[in-house]
Amino acid sequence: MDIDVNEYRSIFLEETKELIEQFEKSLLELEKQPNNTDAIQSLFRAAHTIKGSSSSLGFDSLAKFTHSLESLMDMVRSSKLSLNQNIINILFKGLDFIQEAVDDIEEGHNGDIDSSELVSMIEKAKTSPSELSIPTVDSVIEKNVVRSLDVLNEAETGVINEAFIKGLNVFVVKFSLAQGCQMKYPRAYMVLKSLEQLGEIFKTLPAVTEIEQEKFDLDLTYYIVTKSTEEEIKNVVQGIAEVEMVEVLPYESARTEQIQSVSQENIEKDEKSEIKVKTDFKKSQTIRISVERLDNLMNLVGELVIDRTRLIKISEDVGEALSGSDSVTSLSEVTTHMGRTINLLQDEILRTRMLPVSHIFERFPRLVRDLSHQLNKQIDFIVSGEETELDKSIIDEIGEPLVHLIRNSLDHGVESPEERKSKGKPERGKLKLSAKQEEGYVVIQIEDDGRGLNPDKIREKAKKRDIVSPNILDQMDDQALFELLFLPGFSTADKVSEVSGRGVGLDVVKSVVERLNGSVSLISKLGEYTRFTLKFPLTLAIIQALLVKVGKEVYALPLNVVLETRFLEEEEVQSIQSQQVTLFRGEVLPVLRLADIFETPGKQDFNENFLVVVSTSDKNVVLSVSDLIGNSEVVIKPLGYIVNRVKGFFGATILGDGRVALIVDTVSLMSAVKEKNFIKVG
Amino acid sequence: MEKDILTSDVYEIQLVVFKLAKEFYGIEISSVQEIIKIQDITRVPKAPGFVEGVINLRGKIVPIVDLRRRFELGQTERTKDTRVIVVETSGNIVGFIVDLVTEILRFSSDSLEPPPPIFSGIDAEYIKGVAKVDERLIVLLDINLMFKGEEEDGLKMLEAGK
Repeated sequence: MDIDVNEYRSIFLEETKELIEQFEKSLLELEKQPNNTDAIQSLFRAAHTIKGSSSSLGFDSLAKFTHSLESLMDMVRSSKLSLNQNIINILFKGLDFIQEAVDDIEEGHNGDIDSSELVSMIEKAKTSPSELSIPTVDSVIEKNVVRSLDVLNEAETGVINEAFIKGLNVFVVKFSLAQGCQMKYPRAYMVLKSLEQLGEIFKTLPAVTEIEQEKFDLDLTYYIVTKSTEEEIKNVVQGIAEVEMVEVLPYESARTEQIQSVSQENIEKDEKSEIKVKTDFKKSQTIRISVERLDNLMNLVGELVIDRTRLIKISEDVGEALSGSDSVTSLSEVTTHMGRTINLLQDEILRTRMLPVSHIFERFPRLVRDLSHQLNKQIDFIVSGEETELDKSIIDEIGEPLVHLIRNSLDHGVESPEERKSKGKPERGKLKLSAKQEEGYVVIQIEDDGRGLNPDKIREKAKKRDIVSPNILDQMDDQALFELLFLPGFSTADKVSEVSGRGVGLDVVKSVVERLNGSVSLISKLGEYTRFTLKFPLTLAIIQALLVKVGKEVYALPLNVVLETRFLEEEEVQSIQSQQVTLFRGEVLPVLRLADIFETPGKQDFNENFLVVVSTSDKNVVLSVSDLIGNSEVVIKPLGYIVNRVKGFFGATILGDGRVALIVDTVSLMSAVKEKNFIKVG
Repeated sequence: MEKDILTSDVYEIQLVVFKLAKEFYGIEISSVQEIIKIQDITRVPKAPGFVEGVINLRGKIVPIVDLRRRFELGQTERTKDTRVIVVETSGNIVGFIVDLVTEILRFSSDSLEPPPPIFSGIDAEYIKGVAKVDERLIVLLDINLMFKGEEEDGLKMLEAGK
């Protein structure tokens, strides 16, 4: 065999992961709507496909397991087994098992995990349906509708049309035999016979042969063409013993009813087929590209972006020197046009790296389900903006922080149903997860309508931990207090629970988000809500930056860490034990001279007239610089060999004049500064 | 027969020869990407002393190392002859500042001699050999080793907080 197993393996893994997602989604739907036949079908298909592909690659253990799961679902699908919570739970466990096996395969093993316990649970569920079955009333109704739709064939509608032309009535006679009726067939026959004296019965439900064999429960429907009226028919049928509940509908109304439902179904069908066509179309039109190749494209476009900036500058310079010349005019035209094209190209390439956030959002309904079960809380989980797109590399990283925040909200934010009730809130808590695009950023929010954060408690805790000095604490407003939660090891939870401690790990969330050039903030109102807002740039390769001057050198500060800039007023900076500090929104922040940190040549010869307030992982700090140049879109480039080990920068960018400016990484800069005891931060 | 061919494996070496202070050095031309005039260098704070900074080489950020400082021969004086030799091996790109690029030389590998034992210290390990050409001694540098060594030295220097 010269099949490249590894290649197939990776295709298998990718496909199976998609199927697992689909499985989970359908399962969650099914739990909410047990009658959702589409969900059952989709579950069944997912399991079936996993079974097939795993067996063809020799992952026999997984194949065997999915087979047993599939047969359970088949029984549900064919209504041999009614769905109940037990089966749903088993299916969830089954899903977890498949995931586990696939993880195992991904690690290079065979997915050979012991499934015997689960399989025996499945087998047991097959034979002994639990009493906790979920009522399936809806599906019965649904079935009736479907059955009445199938009723008429062409010959029969022909009969009806003929009857209408002749001016005859067409009635649909629905009746039931009495419960415990001993002679079902004779009774049904008697009805048939009596009605035949009034007109022509052209159809019965069930069919006559089935009636003869008593293959019906108690309900029957006859279709009759007659001169008689509704009333007459009804009287005749009601006159027969053991007949109950007679309903005579003129075919007109029965038909419109049918037409409505038929057309509705057609619409549904049409929609489905349309969607299907669309997805098929999409499939045939997409190709998989390695991320590496996209990175290369991104780099090339980055270079073009830089060239664009340079070209504009050159064109301006030339324009100044040789104004009025035709060549200069066309140069500036070409430059403008090229600039626009490069912009479009950049957008397009950026877009190829973008994935909808649904890629991560999809796993949360399950998480919320499991957690709320575990915590005995009732949660409405509302997700919106799943289609919002974000750079793949960011998508890959933000799953963890989001999981953390969701856990936090469920564990500490949302109260127990009893507590909510006593507060006059609805018993079911709300957890909202949303994503949206806002200018150059994607904003993801997690909001619960739980107990909110208590500023007094945070203040108390901060005092105990001696994190901020008491008089500063007293000056801090609520917002500033909430920010303290992002400090390492700061928790307001009275006891740290199994699930998470609010506050515990928020520093981790913050550091992950900031590593991605994003930012995180939170607002809350005691007793009402807590909302976390995460903001990410659309892409990692190009960021918005504030260009600043330190002496003659230019540095770029990522705009996402810049809180404020201001001209330095003399009285603003004070000194505490030879450390310069300033007040910012009631908070005392250290002022750091970038010229000192960077050991800028000739630093004594220039003044630093501007302050830039930046956030770092621990605390905000104020950097003093000699000038502000302005905001600019910059392409992040790796510093390369040796230099990339230097702390304080995460790359460099090329400015319009072709020179290189370093991009400051405030987080690593602060830790480097702290290590050298430049200053006590935090 | 076969053995003879293997052991008498003489090949031609092509070198870019340049001057550092009064000494001549050579780098194999295969690892030289280009030779450029010195341009605006952006200083990188806290980088090891021999790193002059970084430049923009057609959209790429390239670190610039002053070879004289690297070999502890003092600092290179900038003249109109000063050049940057951009070398690349296994994905690493670095520009070396040298006093003067003199010529491209071809010579046979058998005229290469192992470095004399008088070489010692930081530079000894990066020397592939010494070639004698027209009464001149040319020190052939091993770029691969230099990259490796500099990486380690760089790390040590960073750790020492220099």
